[in-house]
Amino acid sequence: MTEMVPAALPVDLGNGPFAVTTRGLAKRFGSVRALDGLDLQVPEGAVYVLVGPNGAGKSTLIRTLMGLVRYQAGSVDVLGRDPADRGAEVRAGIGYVPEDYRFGYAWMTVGRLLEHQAVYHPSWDAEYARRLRARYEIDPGRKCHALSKGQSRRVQLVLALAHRPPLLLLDEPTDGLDHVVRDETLSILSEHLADSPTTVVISTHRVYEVEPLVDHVGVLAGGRLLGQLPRDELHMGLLRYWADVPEGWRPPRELSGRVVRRNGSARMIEWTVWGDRDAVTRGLSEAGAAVRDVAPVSVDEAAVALLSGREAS
Amino acid sequence: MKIRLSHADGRPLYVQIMDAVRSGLVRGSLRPKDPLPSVRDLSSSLRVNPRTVSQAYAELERDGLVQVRHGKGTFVAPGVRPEETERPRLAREVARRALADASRYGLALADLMTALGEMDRKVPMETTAHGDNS
Amino acid sequence: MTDSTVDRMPATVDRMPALKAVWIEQLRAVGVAIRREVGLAGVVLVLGSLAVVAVARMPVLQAMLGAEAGVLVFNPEEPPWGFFAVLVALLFPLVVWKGERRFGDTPLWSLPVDHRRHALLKVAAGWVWLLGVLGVALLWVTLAVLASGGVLGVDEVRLLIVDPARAAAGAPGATEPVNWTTPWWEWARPFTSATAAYLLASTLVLATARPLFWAAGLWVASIAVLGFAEERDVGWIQRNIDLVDWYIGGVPFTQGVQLTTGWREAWTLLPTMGMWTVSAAFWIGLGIAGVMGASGRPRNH
Repeated sequence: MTEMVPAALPVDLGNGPFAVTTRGLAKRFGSVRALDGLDLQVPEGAVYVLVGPNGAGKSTLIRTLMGLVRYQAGSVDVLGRDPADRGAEVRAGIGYVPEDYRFGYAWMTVGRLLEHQAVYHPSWDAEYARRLRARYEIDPGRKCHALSKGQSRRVQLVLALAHRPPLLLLDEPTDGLDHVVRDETLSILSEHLADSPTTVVISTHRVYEVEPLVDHVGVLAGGRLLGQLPRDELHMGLLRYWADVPEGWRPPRELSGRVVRRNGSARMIEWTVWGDRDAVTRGLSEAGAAVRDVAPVSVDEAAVALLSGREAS
Repeated sequence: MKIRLSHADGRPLYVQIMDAVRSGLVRGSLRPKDPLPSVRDLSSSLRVNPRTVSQAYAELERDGLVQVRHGKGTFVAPGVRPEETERPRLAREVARRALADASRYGLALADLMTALGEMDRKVPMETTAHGDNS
Repeated sequence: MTDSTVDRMPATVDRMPALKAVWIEQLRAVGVAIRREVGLAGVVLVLGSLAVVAVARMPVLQAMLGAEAGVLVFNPEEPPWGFFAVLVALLFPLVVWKGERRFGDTPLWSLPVDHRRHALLKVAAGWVWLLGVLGVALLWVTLAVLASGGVLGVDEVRLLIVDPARAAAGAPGATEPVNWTTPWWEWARPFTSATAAYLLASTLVLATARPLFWAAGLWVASIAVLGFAEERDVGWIQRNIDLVDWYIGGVPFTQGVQLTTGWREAWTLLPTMGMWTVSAAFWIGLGIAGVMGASGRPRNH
């Protein structure tokens, strides 16, 4: 594997309380390291987005938290339990939307599938399930195998939400949803969060689709976290700097390791840098660069900067 | 109260919500003792995390603009004088952003002042329309 | 652990379903899963038996088909009844587990029940349905046979070989006649052999990703063992395979002998209740052990 690049962004969220933690979590499929010493921390009540490219280990991580994958090293704590040996208890507290939309019994009707789920979750709120079904325009008489990708996703979201679990694990929840349904889903999730105390982990490679909901961000690549921090800290600490630079300009040494992404031309730089705004501006100015503008970046831009910066190094 | 959030804005979402409330006060669509939308309704219609709305309301309460009455909702504080405090404050914020935008294009404060002065004389309607877009 | 973690513990346990509710739901879900296949088999059985009864009752049809007039005898001792039950039992797990990814994401593994317990509950639910389906089928055939004026079971005289060495030559006294009435437990045998077959097939379904491939492999292997036994004349293997043939397929322990009156089927062994109980206990025991072992396999990579 590649040498560990020192993380430019913080990865420690402090003392919690956390709904989910992993320490040094490792999982390997054959010679492929899907998770490579992962320290995940999801604070209670957070909406934590797990960003990363396909194959970064997002689904493996979520399935490990569900007790569906056996990990090989490290430790996992989900709602106070280790899913490896108390999987049933852990799953009782989780609403899960799996990555695969072809999920569930193809031969069942949607109504029967919802009934099935209700039996397994004593906290099932039938009235809420009915309301969600109506908002999503789900026909309970349809056979599951006759559902389109988007319809399946909607059914899966109802299955995950209607028992009002303390933890939601949503693996690419907006995958396959058109714009209108995606918008409706965000609205449903907003109301759900307002009505029931819930910790949410959303895995996605398209952050912009869920960005307004998110308050914590973890960027995952190669089975490791490149950064894990509250969204507000990300917006304050990770900024984009535009500066005019003289020909043959050399960057200041104190910025090494903090520049997440370098863009620009010979005379103008567009750098995404982690650090205190004034200190970075001063550093650039003292090195001869004329800082023209500083702007925060969106969660999506931050993820792109971190991930592409990693590829470049 | 109409609120539109912009993800390209760059400012935190809760700050944008606070500004929308301030703008409502300045324009008179929100008056002292008026109720604000509930956290649930506003977060649902904006598709944001309810915590973001709560945070905005909490900050507004700290600024003395609103009162959170538990179990009843959030209301504009009775003693608020938008003309005296919020109008200049909002104007300063808009000016600051215009200035930042100008410097991004390599313009100086003087360029901006000149342009603003000309605009105000020539196309008053346009400026009004622009100022009323939220 | 933080205090809040401790506080949360009972909350999640409260959210777990009662075992009884899960059991009833599995019974219902398996019922829905097998509905179509069982319905189809039922239609075939009903049409087939009605045709047989019609032929037996209507001389016109007999004449048309050139069939011999006679009385239908439903004897559970003989094929195809036992074999039919075993065949259904072998295929049954495939229908019970239809649409479940046994090694992957499926609702069964994502629900808040221990994986092994959940697998066992599903196997048990399938078994209950299997016995129900076989019971109804047996009852239907019985009624059809009675409706056609047939008889149940046999009451006959069987020729038992007492001296195998001389029997082949047709020596007098090497065989002796024995009165035989179909014993009650022969009616239970299809159920016990089907149970064993169902459990063994379930073992393959739970333990392997490609159960049909493994079943074919095991079948080829047993043919090879049988061939080896014939070739080397390994008596104990042959005897046990005869016992298996009898137990699962109802293949009788008979061979042809030349008597002064001509060729006759003679019995090398008359089945006893002891043979049935020992065979049933052995195969069902093996099946239970298999299912217990296979259900503990990790359900993911």
